[in-house]
Amino acid sequence: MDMLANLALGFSTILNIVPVELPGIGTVPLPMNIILCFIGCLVGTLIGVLPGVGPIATITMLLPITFQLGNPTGALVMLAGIYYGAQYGGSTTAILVNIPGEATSVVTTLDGHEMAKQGRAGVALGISAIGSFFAGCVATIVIAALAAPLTRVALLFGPAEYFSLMVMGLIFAVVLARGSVAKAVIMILVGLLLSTIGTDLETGQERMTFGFGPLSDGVDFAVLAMGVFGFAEVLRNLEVSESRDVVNKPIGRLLPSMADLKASAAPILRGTGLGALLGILPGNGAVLGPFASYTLEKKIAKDPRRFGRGAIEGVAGPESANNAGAQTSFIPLLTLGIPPNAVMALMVGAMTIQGIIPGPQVMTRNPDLFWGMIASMWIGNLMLLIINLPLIGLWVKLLKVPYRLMFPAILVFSCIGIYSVNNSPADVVFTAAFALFGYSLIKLGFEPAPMLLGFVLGKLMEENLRRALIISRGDMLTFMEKPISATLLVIAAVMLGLALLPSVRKSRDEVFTE
Amino acid sequence: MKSYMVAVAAMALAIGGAQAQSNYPERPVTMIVPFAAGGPTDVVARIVGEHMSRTLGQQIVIENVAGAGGTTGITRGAQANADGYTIMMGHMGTHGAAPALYPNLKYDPTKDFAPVGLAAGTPILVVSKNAIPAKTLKEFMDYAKANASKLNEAHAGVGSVSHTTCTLFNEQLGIKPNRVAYRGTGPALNDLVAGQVDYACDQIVNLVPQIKAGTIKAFAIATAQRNPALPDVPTTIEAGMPDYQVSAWNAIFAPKGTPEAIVTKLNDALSKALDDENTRKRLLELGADIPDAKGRTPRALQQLVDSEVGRWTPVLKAAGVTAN
Amino acid sequence: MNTPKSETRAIPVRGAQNLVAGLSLIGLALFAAWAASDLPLGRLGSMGPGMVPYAIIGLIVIFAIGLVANGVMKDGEGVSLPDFSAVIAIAAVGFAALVAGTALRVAGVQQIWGYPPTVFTFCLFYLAVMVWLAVQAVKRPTWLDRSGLRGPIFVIGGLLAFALTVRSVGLVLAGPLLAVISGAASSETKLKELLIFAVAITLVCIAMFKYALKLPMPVLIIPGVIYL
Repeated sequence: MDMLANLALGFSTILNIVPVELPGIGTVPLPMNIILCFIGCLVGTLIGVLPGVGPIATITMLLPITFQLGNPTGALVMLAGIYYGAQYGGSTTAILVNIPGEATSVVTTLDGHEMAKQGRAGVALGISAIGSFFAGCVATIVIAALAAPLTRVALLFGPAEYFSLMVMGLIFAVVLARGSVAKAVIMILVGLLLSTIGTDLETGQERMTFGFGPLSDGVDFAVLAMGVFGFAEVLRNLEVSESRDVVNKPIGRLLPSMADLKASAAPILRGTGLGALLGILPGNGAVLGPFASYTLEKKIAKDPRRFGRGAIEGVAGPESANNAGAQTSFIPLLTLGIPPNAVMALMVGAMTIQGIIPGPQVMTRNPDLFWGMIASMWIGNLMLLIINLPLIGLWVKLLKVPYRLMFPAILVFSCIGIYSVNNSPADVVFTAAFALFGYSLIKLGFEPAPMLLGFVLGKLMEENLRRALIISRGDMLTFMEKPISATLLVIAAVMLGLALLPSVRKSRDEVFTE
Repeated sequence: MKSYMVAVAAMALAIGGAQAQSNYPERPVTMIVPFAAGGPTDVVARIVGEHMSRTLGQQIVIENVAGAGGTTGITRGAQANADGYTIMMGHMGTHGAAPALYPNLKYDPTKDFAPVGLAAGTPILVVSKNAIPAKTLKEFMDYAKANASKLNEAHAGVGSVSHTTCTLFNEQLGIKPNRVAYRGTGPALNDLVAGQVDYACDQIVNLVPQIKAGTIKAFAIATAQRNPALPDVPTTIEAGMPDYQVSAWNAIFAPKGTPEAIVTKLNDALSKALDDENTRKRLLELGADIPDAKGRTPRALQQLVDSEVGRWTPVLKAAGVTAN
Repeated sequence: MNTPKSETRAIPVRGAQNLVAGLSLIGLALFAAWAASDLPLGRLGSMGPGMVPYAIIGLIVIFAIGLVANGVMKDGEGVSLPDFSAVIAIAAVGFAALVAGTALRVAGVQQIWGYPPTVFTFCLFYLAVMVWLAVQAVKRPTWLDRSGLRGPIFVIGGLLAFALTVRSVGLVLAGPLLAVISGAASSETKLKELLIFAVAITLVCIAMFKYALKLPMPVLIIPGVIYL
């Protein structure tokens, strides 16, 4: 019952109507927080939909705007709106133009973009919005009911547990392969190698940077994704005028049919569960949610060959997992005051500038802010649905723009996005280099998706491996002595074993090789 | 509404500025913050910059140029035109520790800048996980010396404030613990709360909520006076380590050769901001130290930079950490 | 997989694509090993910065050798020159620029228009290649479209032009420059339409990023005259 009272407090904060002085009209009572949430969602979607600009980049770009708002609740509500908007905007570009704005929407490109190619872009966008909304509702309740007890889970995961989790994640990545498994493994390894470029965290030594300044912080995810996915895709599309990805086929229906909804219901449920669970983990566990969901759906599907060719389950599950994780990753921040990933670290900045230092006491000292934010999560998800369902028609119509104009526009928007993340022209040059790299990889028969996952997990894996071994003084057994870590490694080993067993392997090759 | 107020302020300044010798600034001033938006330095820059914009009558636009421990942004700022339209928010790392950490540094903190003034200092605290038996800094020092080979210290990456300040702490204590690097303060703090690692040194703003909630222990604050945000935590002077005085200071710099009249104007605007009630309140909420009138002058800043470079270079060299 | 069979050149190998892929990866691994050669390995208890990269490089080499073996022994996809002509061309430009830039530096030239000599020579050579390609686009468009050079060279050229001008001149130049240069990558482009479109989206971007979102992004800088 406590939870209901708390949620009521939250919603009353959000729905709070304040008199606002409008120039020329006079004082009008307005639900300011709702309006800010709406603006946040809208602007977040509009910026997030720019190719290659994911939530982190969007929030970095828009954070200063919220600084100008005088009231902390309003600023945070708006920021949360921006976050959800950016998430959804990122999925939109992943589906429409095959450019993932962040690691978690890499999975969405696989089947979402295939659907778009088949003229089902509207359905893909629709199911993504519906799945995200459902996941958002569940995650809001999870946070409201279980935030405090779940905090302990976050503290159970130390370096050893993380390393094992990432090992498991890499084994998931193999499933992303559309071609041969060996080539997918190689791509993961190349991604791992790319992740080691830059200043070494433990020793401060520069690795493989050739003393070149802009490389000293390593390769930026957005730069890599934009190059190997986005621009390489543009280069490929320019070759053949008929098989263009941004399609000239009839649009088809805009919203999912009953059959689509039925096929997606179970994946949405499973995705929500997986995403919510992994999102709680600090150290960016949320990134694994969509991959885990995709792997699960592909494993239990009656006909796994449909995956990678426009299977709606491959969009519904991961998108739900993505949104659920995005939301539950607020738990460590709200209850422990510790940001679990880069987006949450930005939230900390937004809170501190408003004079609220996030920590365990926020819940008791600023209950209206705390519960207002949780209520705003649900409102934000609702706004997304309201904003995006009508927008789907517009997005899909954009696909009708002739490609000769579409691609210069994609390039201009992408470049401005990439430039403004760090205000660095060097980043634009890097995307150009990665475009060539990605283009060559495609020509050599490689798929870039596993490489991106390897890249993201690589940093986390190496850092946690080294941390765990420093703490254990070089004793490898530490990974088996800790129960959680051991369990994860056993699961990973079983999955690998299944993949390598000769008989299983035979059917696997049939499944994974075209 | 806000732009209207800025316009009024601009007009007032234009009238008042009739007798001033230069009409700087005529267009927005760019302040380079060498870290990502939302970090401690960015927050200080935005709070101070907002009030300075009002005094100057032109917007101060914050440009976040992150990278290489802040040296990327400062390098760009140092090479900008010395016309007062590009200034930067430097800090302890970029203008103190950087020469020792980055042998290929493209600027000299002591020579390549026209210092404007110190904006705020963020005190450093020594904290540990709750399971450590020590209750005071003295007890912790004894404990650390006795168990040095078993201790794990968490820091936020080579060159970060928590890393450099703890290097000094370890050196003064004469211990060589295992140092565990994290990507940022957040994850480091998580493992400290969870008890995976034993102790850390970090900026007050990150630690206050955890200390108040009792999830970690604070032994001492490395300033001369106690901090109003944590009145119960003794200073290092009280607690028996008087030489450990460190603060992650943030200060405004202009490129070398910026006309003195402009530097003076910027310094006045900074000083007005630091005297403003609201600005003070917001900085104090962060646990920041606001410099007094003497500490805000360009000269005082130059002296600070000189002494900081002189202090960190041997400490970091001795610890064998460089970024190349 | 993306190569139409008709364009496949006859190379006396059964799976040329896998062979080339394997060899390229071995090259990449060797390059990375050379780049990482200064990194100490360390011990398990305190790993050096080199341990993980070397382990990854080792694994890449093992798999790459497998790929080479597969390419020699099993039937597979072929390769065709136009797929890689642009990469080879840009690599050649890079190499020539490195030689010329180093020569200039030895001759005592430290900077040309504020750029290091190698960067300058690269841009100069790249520009020359683009001009030559533009001439070909008029003279023998069919050859150009089949060469595989057109798309990558102009798109990359546009990106470089954007990077060079966005901070020094501003978005007013960088945006249209990117759109127009990269527009040459497609044989369907109509110049007039593209010009209007380039200006229009640049204005939209300026309105949105600079004025609505207040991002610190230069719009137009003419030193001493205007600064927006």
